[in-house]
Amino acid sequence: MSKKGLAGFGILLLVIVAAITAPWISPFDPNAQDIINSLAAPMAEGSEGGIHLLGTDRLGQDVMSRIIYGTRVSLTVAFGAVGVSALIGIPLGLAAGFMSRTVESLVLVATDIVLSIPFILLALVLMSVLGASLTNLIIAFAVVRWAQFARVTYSLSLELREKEYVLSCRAAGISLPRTLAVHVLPNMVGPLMVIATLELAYAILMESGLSFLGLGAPPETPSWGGMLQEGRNELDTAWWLTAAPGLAIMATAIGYNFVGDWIRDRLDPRLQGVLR
Amino acid sequence: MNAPVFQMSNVSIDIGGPRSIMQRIASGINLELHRGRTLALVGESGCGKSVTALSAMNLLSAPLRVSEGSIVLRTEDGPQDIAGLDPSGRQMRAIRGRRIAMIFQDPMTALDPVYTVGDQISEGLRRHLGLSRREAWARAVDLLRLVGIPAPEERAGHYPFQLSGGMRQRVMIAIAIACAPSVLIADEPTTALDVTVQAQILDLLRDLGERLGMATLLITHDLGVVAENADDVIVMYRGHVVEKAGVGALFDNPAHPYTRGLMASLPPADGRRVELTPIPGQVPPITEEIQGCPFAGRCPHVMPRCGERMPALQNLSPEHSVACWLYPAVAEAVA
Repeated sequence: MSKKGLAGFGILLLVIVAAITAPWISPFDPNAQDIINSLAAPMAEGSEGGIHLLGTDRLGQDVMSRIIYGTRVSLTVAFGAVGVSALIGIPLGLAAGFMSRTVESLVLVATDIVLSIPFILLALVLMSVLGASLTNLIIAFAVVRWAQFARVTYSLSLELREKEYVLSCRAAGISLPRTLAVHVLPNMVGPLMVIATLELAYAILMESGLSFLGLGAPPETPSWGGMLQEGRNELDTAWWLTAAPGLAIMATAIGYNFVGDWIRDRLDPRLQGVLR
Repeated sequence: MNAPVFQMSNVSIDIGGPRSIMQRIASGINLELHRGRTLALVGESGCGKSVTALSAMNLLSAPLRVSEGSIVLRTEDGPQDIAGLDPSGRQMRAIRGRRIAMIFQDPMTALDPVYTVGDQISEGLRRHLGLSRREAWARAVDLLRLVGIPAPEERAGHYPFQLSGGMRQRVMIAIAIACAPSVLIADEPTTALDVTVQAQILDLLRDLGERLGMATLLITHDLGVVAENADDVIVMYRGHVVEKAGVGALFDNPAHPYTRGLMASLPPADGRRVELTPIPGQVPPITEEIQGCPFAGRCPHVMPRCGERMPALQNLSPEHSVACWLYPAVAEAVA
């Protein structure tokens, strides 16, 4: 495995482990307020013992603990949003590739329309209409990003439907739905995995962005974007409030991208010899 | 001779839909397939061979369609007109792979890369014959042995990329014959293979056809393949059957100028050095509307009436017929 891939998997593993074990590894309750210790610098001692590794925010909440709990929002939104997008986009892409011309045009026109609207704008509108919640974040992402999956699946379909084994499935009396599920989809897994990992990174950035704009996770949920937004006001006095979540977002997004690159390189036969 | 297991009568194939102009790309195709016999369909690229093969399985997809004629398959349940069935319906699916099977040109792309060959042979057995996974796998191993693959137990667990081209074509044949179909359609089965492997594959096909009593439709542009492997031959040109004969009669006495042209462009097998005579020109594209005989533009014997009407197929002898105005039998049939 390449160093890059290893680093990517390392970061993701860290995030996943942190999300699962958050209640045990967090030094403090992420929502416990300690007004006396407001805006304490990193490594400061808490008023009831313990050390605030990454300092505290205006309400005296421990930044480290909030970052750790923030992985839960980050992962839920990322995997939920990408999962739902894929579930909508992949079947539509296959339908466009293998069904009638009418279906093909309908799907393609729909993807063009959705992808031509600036994503953040559409997401903002949706979130303000639906209200700030994790479920709505996932919906807002899927409403737009299914089109990415549909497009990629469609372009892969164009290539695969010319393959003789697809015709030979028909010649062997296998129904179209079964051909698609059993013989076409598995041959698309590689490229779709790459798209999925890139979309994961995108979803994290979207979650942070919308939370930063106050339209993401509800305020009481510790989320990286929300922390960034709160920390913005103390930028000149308490740098750790923005640096910590900012770095967490960056590292995770990079992690997903590295993993995506690694999968792509693994699956690209032209690069096989070079890598091994 | 018994009734043919498979019979295409007067089949025409059109291209075009409600919004574009209809164009006839093959017309009046008659062919019969008999158990244990091989019928070769010969012609250059673009003559309508593959379209004919696909229509035999009702696999034409828009904008192509069978516009006329009947395609009858005889099974123990009696004759059935395939052309009248819904191409993607249950009945048609039960025929494909079970009664009529097909072998494709390129074994490199005709196998699904993500499954083992054992799984791919098993799929048809399980779906059409209802075998369990274990039974189907055991049959798959037997079939691999039958098509001459060494160490079949081991090979069944291999993926297509682990096999050579010839092996893959053997696997394709194993898939095709898995459900003991009565009709086997082989669309240029050896074009993508080395010459030495070609001969082995064709021998295998012929042997299996005779042993299993399958009727084989062999599509090829290679007259050498025809001479070696076919019982009967149909020569097609631009969607028309121009000559139909037993293999002996055709090679002894080619009647249509196109057939003669094809033979003249083939080097003699005895190694004599002779000048090869190519047929001048090319097959006119299917989009071009043609009045009369489509070969007229390349024919050395062209006559005025060739440009007026396409002659119908007429018998020269009981097992030899031709569609060309050069022959009195053809001209008299019209007069």
